[in-house]
Amino acid sequence: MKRAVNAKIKITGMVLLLIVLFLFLAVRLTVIAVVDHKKYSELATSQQVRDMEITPKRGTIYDTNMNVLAESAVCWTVAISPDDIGDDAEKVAEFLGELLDIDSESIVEKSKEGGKYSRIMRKVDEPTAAKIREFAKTEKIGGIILEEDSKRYYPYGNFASHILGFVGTDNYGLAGLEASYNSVLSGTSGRIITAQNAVGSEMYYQYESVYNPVEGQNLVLTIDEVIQHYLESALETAVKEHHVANRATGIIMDVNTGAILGMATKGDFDPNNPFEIIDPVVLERLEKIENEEEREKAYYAEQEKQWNNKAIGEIYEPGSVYKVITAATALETNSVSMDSTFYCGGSIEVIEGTTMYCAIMAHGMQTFPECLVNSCNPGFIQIGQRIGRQNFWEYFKAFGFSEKTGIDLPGETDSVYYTADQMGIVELASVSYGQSNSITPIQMITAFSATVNGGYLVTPHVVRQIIDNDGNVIENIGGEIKRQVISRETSDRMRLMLEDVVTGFGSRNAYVSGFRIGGKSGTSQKLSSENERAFVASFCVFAPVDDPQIACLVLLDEANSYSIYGTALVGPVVANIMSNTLPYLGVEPSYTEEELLTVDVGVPNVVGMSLTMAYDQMQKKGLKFEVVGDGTSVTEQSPKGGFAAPRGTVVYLYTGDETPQFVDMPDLSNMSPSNAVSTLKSYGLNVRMTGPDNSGSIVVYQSHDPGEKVLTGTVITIEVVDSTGRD
Amino acid sequence: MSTTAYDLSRFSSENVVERRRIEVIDNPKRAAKSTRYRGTLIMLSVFLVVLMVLTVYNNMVLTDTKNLANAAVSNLNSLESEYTYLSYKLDSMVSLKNAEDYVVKELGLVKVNPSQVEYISLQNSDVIEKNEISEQKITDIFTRLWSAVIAIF
Repeated sequence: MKRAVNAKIKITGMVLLLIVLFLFLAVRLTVIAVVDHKKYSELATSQQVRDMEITPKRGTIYDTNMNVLAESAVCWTVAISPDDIGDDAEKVAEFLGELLDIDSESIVEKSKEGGKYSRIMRKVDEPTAAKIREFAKTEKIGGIILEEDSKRYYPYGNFASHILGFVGTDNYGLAGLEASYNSVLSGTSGRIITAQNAVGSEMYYQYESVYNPVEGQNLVLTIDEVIQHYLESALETAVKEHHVANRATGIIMDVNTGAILGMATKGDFDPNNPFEIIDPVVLERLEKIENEEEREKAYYAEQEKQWNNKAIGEIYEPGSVYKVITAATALETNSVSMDSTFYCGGSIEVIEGTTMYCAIMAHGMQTFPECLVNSCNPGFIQIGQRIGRQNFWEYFKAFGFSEKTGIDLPGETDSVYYTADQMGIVELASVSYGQSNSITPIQMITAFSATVNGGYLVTPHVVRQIIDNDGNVIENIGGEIKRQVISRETSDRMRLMLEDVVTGFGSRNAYVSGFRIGGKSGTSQKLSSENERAFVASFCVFAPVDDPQIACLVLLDEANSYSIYGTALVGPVVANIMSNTLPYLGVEPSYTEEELLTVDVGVPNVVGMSLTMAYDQMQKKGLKFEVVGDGTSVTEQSPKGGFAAPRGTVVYLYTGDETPQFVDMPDLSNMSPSNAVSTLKSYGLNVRMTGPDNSGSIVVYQSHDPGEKVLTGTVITIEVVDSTGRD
Repeated sequence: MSTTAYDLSRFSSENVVERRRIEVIDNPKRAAKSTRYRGTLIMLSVFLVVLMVLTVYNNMVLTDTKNLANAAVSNLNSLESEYTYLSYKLDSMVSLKNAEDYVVKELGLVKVNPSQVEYISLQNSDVIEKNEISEQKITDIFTRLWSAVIAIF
């Protein structure tokens, strides 16, 4: 009995103990599973789940014809695991040092530091990474790590560099379109979430979740690769020939839509290596600095400067180009008429004690259009006085000079100007001919376009479309018209006046045979500079006059050449650009009778023909000929058949045993056109001349270098420029 | 007093009650049922084993396929990357600037003068007529004949 009771007690006790234990476990389980559910769930997830980011491919940037200007591709970061590399460190260091062009000693040093990861180089291309993989496989070497990364490629180097911009090492846009459209181009990262077991291996696919990345969208620009090339070539040549000290910039714009067809600044940079200075003039200047600290400081300053897009990021005093705006304002406000006259005695006393001079000469009595053709400062001071400061200020604002243009590029700067309240008589006088107010080149060309396109102020833009990887259009970016500034009638008058400027005396440097071009040159002194000869020379043109399509503005900042004036220095540059761009755009040339006489013809091949037949062929083409030798049939000719030569070229026909002789090319630089032509004729050479044949014209370019051996009869191309042109 | 413990008569053989002998006869139905049960059990086991094996094999194949797919994607990415790199190299070599430099400096070519380009206006029927050819031919024939005659004399 007693034993049974004891047993019963024991059993009851054990049961109670079990119940207590069970309750304890139940409570603990409830705490873990319910109360602290979130905490333990997160801990479990972090331990069991592996989360990998999938980097989206950055969008591509195309020109208007879908040529790739910027594209991303996978690249690799090369690293080593010092703990795993072991005795192979020397071998690996030698291989990587030679392949990646880095010091192998530094790799050996890193291998001795220990640890699981030590980076050697970033942004290594796929072919190089393949060689590293092959090396590791062949040599059976562990400890070399290749991590996937992304690299941005700009195939054409410094082409359109200020428009495209560049990205940083993390593929984030830092300048240009890469920055302003970074959110469009970069896309959204994806994720792969996988489960991993206790030893860290991935579990099979059922535990895998993939969230696909949203690839970056692509940009289609308004920039035309060919037109951009013409612009950049012309600017590069101008910078080199005229020793431009503070960079040059150019813009080509569709006057009706605001689409930027080309925009360039020289000196520029290569977006593939944006931190490297490539301008040899700047490098030479930096090397002259002896103090290392100062040189480093100057280097960083030049780096910042080279990234700055001069077309939108720097202001300048437009000079006489602004007279176009003043003239349009005067016509629109009926302050002047086409028959108004103004007297220029060479200077004008604005107020007592303040006299302003004409940069050119005393023009005497001139009409309103003549004031523009002559670029007469006293004339425009009087025009400005007639407009009045309030009207002047209102139209200054209406043409967009008091606000940013809104172009879709970063870094556009504000202009500096006098308001109506700040303008006294002297200020009004100077702003009338383009001094004192400072504006950006993009503001200038946009306002200029408004004077010739019917009066509409458009918004310039460089992006035409945003598309996805399948070519579907996400967004069209069209030309926005802000407002109509002047009437169509005023605009029509301005176009004809500007054509007279280009065809008139002094500005004919910008004339292109066969095309109707209008425009205005400008030269402004940089008052902020210590250099008295620091001028900004510019020229703004548009074409065709009867149906304006494009405008072009080129600006040389601090040129050191035979002239300081825009018409002399920049006229030939814009003429070169327009002579290439207009035919490319399909504008058909229309030659006058006079021009037809000087256009090129194909030299017929008369070798083997009798002299009579040869004469006939030459006459049909409008070519002259000279017979060398006593034979009756042509054995040799110079220029050869198939070459282009102007009408009137002398073709040397050789008969018998005579052959064309070589002569030394003479130096024609700075000669007048007539002297140059007679010199060439005395050497038995022919000439093709481009540029205005005025009394002040000089030769600035010859197609063959002085001293070069050329065959008699060769057509030598010379370029002449009116160096006496003033703005 | 007699106690049960001392009642020896309980153990005498006279009081022994003979137990009924139970003869066990196998129930055929039960035997069959047992066999069926065993058979079902075996079949079920086999089925489960096969299912397990197939499941494991299926997962193996899927994992392998996934790995192959990943490898193919990785290979594609590498090839695309190489293509982009090579395209970049090619484009930089044949840029407009390089091409122009080469044709002017190396090949000695010059740009086409706009005056050398003949613009043709196409009419509705898209027919191009160039009448001067036949005239040129006739003139050429007479010129050649005349030259030949002069050459003889």
